[in-house]
Amino acid sequence: MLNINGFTKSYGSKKAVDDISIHIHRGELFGFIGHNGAGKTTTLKACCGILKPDAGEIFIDGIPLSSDPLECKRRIAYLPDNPDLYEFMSGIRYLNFVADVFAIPSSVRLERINRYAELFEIKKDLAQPISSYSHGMKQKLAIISALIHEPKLLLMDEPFVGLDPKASHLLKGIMRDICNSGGAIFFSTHVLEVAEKLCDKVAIIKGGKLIKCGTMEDVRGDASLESVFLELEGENV
Amino acid sequence: MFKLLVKKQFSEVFSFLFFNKKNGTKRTGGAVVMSVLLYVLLFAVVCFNFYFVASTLCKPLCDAGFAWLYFALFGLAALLFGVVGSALATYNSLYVAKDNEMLFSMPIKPRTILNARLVSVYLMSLLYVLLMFLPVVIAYFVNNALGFREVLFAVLTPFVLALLASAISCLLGWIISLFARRLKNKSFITIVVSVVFLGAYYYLSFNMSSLLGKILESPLIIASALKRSVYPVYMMGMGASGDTVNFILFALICFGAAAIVYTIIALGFAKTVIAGGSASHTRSSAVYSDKPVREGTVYAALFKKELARFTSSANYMLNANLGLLFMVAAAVALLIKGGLVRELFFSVLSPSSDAAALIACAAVCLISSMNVTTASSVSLEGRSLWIVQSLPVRPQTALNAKLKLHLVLILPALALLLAAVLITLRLPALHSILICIVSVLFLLFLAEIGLIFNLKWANVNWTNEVIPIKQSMSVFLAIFGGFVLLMAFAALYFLMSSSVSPLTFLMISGAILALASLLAYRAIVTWGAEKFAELS
Repeated sequence: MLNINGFTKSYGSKKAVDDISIHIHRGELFGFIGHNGAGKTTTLKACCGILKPDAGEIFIDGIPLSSDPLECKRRIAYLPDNPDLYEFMSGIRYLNFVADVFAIPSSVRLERINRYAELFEIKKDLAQPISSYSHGMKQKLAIISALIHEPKLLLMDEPFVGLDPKASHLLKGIMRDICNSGGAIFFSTHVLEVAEKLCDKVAIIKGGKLIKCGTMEDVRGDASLESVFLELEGENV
Repeated sequence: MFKLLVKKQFSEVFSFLFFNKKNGTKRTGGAVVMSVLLYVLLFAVVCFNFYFVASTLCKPLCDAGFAWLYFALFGLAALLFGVVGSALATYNSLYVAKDNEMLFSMPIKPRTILNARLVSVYLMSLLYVLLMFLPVVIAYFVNNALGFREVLFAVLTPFVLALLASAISCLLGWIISLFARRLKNKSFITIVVSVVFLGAYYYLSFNMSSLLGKILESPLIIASALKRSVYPVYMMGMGASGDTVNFILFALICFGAAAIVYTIIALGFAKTVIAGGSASHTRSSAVYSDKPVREGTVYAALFKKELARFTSSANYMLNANLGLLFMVAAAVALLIKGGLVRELFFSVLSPSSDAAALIACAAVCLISSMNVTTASSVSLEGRSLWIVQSLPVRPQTALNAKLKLHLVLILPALALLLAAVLITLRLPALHSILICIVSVLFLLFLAEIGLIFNLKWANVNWTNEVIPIKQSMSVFLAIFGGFVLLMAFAALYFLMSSSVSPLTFLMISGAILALASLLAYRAIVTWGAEKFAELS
């Protein structure tokens, strides 16, 4: 579903990501962990076409992102680490904007908006301007907008930040459902317990380089993910 | 604590001199000196303009024994200037300052926070009052031989006046804070208020010489009317011109007014600030109804998004489309005073002359060049740029939506202005058609060039939308670009005028603009689209 081959990205003289390769198959929930500034957001942004790689190639559903970005973007949804949405729109207007872009038929979009808005308990707030939303409400709206076209691949940067426990629980369930129905998820997180419980596979990135990648069992062995992560990061456990 | 807060307040007020607002970096010593010099120069230029007006009135009024009227009139104007200039800033500084919540969470008395903020409010009012009153005092000194008392009171008056100005500003700020949470359509209200002030400003500017003439013609009538109806203004004038009793009385009025306002706003300051903290997050009474909505195309969705952004920001509407107001105003003025304009126009040009069409076209283009919607449209994507970049949207489509917004906004106003021009001047059909074609092509080209400038000098990392709208290189270039382009066409005409008739030149201009528009559009959909996709 997502093939990252030798992706490299630099900002000026600093190499943010250095020649990483990750392969995510259908049905896989893939966690991406690392320190702040390790290169997680850069990688995720490159996978959704916001950043152009300096070297390497990214394929989504077998389609090269560099040569057919539009077709790739139709298959994915991206959730950034900070939900900077259009504050001048109301929640429903924003969702309809995204639905228009994905050409979702009117009745289908209405059913999906109602379903997810009720699930995340923001239905009554949809007519309000986004500028009046709390961080958590914006995050919920961003999640709904990411789910509205039923993407095959969901790219999420710290998706649980700002969510209340109930919404976090719901999101975890939705993520698992997407993977069970043949989709794939690539998400970054700092919460190792979440990654440990949720992910099928995990990759650890440090200083732009991939230092460990594989199934959860392969990566952690008999230890906890936290101790493996801290050991790999060179911290005292 | 008070000293510490005042120090913080000062460092905040003057931070624009030491830090680059665009990228948050510290300015170098040389850049700071240059900034200070620039602001001093700006202050001096404005003062010089007021000095010119003040010196016109000073000598005749002082010679006729109406020195108090001189100070009363300019004192009143300075007061108005101080209040209008600082009212909105006072509201922002007192009630919606970003650090309000942080300071209120600290062990600081609300009254100490208020007092520290009021120091900067007073200084701001003083700056505005001095801007107008300083040249007034200088003109008074230059035109009169004065004793110590006259000099002292004239110098002290602006400081007392600033107290009254800041008291009124605070009162207005307090009233705004009471209504801010309940107001709907704030952008449109801001637009209406701004247009009213703008109209008043232009009315006063255009009628300044006749107003001055009227004052000089009948100072006695104006003086007695002022003394009868607004006695404190008479006291201010008398005090500033050296009368001790009136100066003390006027100072007491100012201190009294300030004390009353201080008591009012200090009473519920903490409550108003905490309630107003969410003023920018006003919730509307709209209720979500789950009715199916009509599907739209990607292009229509992007255009609606651009339109929503435009109508949500008074800053964007006013600063990027000031020309639109002038176009409508010019059209209305032409329709009302068409006969007079026609008479004036053809008193220097023959009605059959082709040059009439050329000049009319240049005038229309000049007014329409004051619209720069596209010149900040890319930067305004700001931190939400990721949305368009991660959605399956062609960058070309996003840029076309920005161009369309400019055309949809300005074309109707251009059509109105062109209709008014053509009705007024009654030019031959060919001339009229050419004026219309060239004006529309000029508008299109400026929209495209504004977008190109913004793509070249895009800044999506702003924290305040005023920065891309008012303080960006692309907007500066777009505003002056239209003027420079017109000058270039004028120069070209003078070079070719011996061999080309004005009508032929209009045709050539149309052809040049059509070609330039095509090339600019090509640049937008190729280089521009790539640039937009890679912006970060």
